[in-house]
Amino acid sequence: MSATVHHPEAAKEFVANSERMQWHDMALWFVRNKRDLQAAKTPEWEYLRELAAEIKAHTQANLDVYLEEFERQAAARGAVVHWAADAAEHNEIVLGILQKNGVQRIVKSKSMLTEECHLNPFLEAHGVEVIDSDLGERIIQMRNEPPSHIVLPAIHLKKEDVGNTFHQHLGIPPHISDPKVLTEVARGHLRRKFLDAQAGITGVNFAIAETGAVVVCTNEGNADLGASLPPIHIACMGIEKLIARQEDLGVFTRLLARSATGQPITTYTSHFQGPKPGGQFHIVLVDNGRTGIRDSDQFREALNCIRCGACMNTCPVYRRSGGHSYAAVVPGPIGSVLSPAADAKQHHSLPFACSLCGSCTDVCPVKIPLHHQLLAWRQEIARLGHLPASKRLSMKAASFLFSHPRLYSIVGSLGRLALRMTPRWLLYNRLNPWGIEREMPPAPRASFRKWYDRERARQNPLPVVSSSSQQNMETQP
Amino acid sequence: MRKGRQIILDRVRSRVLPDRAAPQIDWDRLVRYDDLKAQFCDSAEFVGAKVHHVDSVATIRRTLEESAEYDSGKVIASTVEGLEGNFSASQVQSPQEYQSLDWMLIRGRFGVAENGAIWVPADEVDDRVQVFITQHLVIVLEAADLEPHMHAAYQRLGRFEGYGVFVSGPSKTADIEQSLVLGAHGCRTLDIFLIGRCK
Repeated sequence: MSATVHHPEAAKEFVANSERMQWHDMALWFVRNKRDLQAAKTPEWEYLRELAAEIKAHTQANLDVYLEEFERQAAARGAVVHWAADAAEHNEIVLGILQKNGVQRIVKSKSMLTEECHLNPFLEAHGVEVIDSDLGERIIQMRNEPPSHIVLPAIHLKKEDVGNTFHQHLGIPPHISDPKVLTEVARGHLRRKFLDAQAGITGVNFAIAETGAVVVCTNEGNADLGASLPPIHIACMGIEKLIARQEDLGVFTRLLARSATGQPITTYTSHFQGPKPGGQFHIVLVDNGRTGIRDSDQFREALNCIRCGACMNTCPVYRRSGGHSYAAVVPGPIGSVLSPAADAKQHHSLPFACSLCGSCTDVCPVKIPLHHQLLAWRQEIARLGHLPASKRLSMKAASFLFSHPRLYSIVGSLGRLALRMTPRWLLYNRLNPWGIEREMPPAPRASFRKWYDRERARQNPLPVVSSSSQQNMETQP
Repeated sequence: MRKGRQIILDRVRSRVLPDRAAPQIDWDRLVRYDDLKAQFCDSAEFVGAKVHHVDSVATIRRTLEESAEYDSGKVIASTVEGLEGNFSASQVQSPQEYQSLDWMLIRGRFGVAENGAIWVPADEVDDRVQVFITQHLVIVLEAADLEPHMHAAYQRLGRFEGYGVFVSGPSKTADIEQSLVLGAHGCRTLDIFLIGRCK
């Protein structure tokens, strides 16, 4: 589980199927387009993003006050608030509630937090049947796969795959691939699970300090069925889901679904304040590394994340490598920021699975400076000594080269010569990662510097830059 | 249980951050609609609901009976005054008993023009599960009760007790190859009856 993952290696299998990779790319780009349409239709979009970031910054600055206020308000409405410093404590708390009430069958709606805590295998090991009730999550649960996207957990699958899965696990005839028919099959299957469940676990999109409310957003209605049919509702949330005031929801409900799927709002935005009549309502507040991120001036804003997935949908690397290649609970740009915070060694390659194009930062509804944070993580990972030798040595060499202009000029001419003269077999092999799956650029006859001297220098001389004032340049391996 | 609480609060308090004021929304910067009703209808249809314009509750049944799905032989529950169903909630012992519901007819408190959402608090129904377990949902709404956007919606809500939900369109999923399918776990269809004129 904690083996070090090298993103390019992990992406190989996905990338090998070019047709499927392109389909995945286009499917996510389609979602990104829908997001653009909604953003463009909202004249105050940029203003909403600013407000969202300010609300989150305000909450982070006063987090202790709001956590206690939330606890007080939620308790006043009859909820039981639990606190878990880490994943293990979270899992124990949930199991404790279930065991105390003799629960053996639960339904669960989407919760990245419970994925992060590996709640399902923990409960199953203690004899509790856990049914993921979001359609996409149910599909991958049957296949024993992790989600590949936080909003679209089964986006890596084609409808034929889903048909096969249902054929194997639900006994439907083979070769059914109509999404309508398959959804109907899942509806019937999950209805029975909902009716049979003794408790429902949900995630949390927002928690309101001033009212003690927990807000859950879904399109399918699974969270509400799971929280309303059984007598016990357990809502699990990271402490960063807290916001101060109910009016702040006005900002976030406008941003979330538009950013996630291009809907103006999710089908259901449910406000849970206290238990249903005769029921129990438990809320588990979880840290599990979040306070560590809060401590960091560099990475704190990553806690603004509302898990819309827009950064994944727009990321050229994510779209072409698939969510599983990140081997992390949250993939894509935000996952590549959050995962190294949990374990820098294991996830050291993720901040490099990025072209620094900045598109994630542009679409993020809560203004997380994602590509800046990814760059900062690269430096941090180098500082921690987690870079593989190939990257470490080539960086050193490049740094030396860039700080010696004459040497740079000589090596440049040699390189151009070499690119023209070297036989293909010497250029295109596993020792040159630049030559894998792509052609090296044609070498120009002369360097830019020579061209400039010849063409322009006389009319418009370059300003003189001393070598000491030259900035270190980031290089791509 | 006390352990985790103290650890988390200690961790948070060990790092004091510069205070950032909670922002106040400048309402002049928010979208305005000339015609709230038209915008609401556009939004509601965009999210897959069907909007009907009626003069009063009395005309709703006639419209419903014209719908292909509706059939008075089916199980119909209603919490709308003047619109009777054939399923009585008074005998119900557990929420599971609502699984037979074909149609649920309820009132919504107000609608939101920008996204077609309708506010349904728990006191509009006998049990909140009715909103989700029914095969088809009907929401009756006064056209005078429309707000432009979610900021106005939450301002109107103020402090409320118990459970409440914004419902925007029928339940849906696109989890299989991004094809939109209406009727995931909740209602398959949503009919909205708008009564009267805008304020």
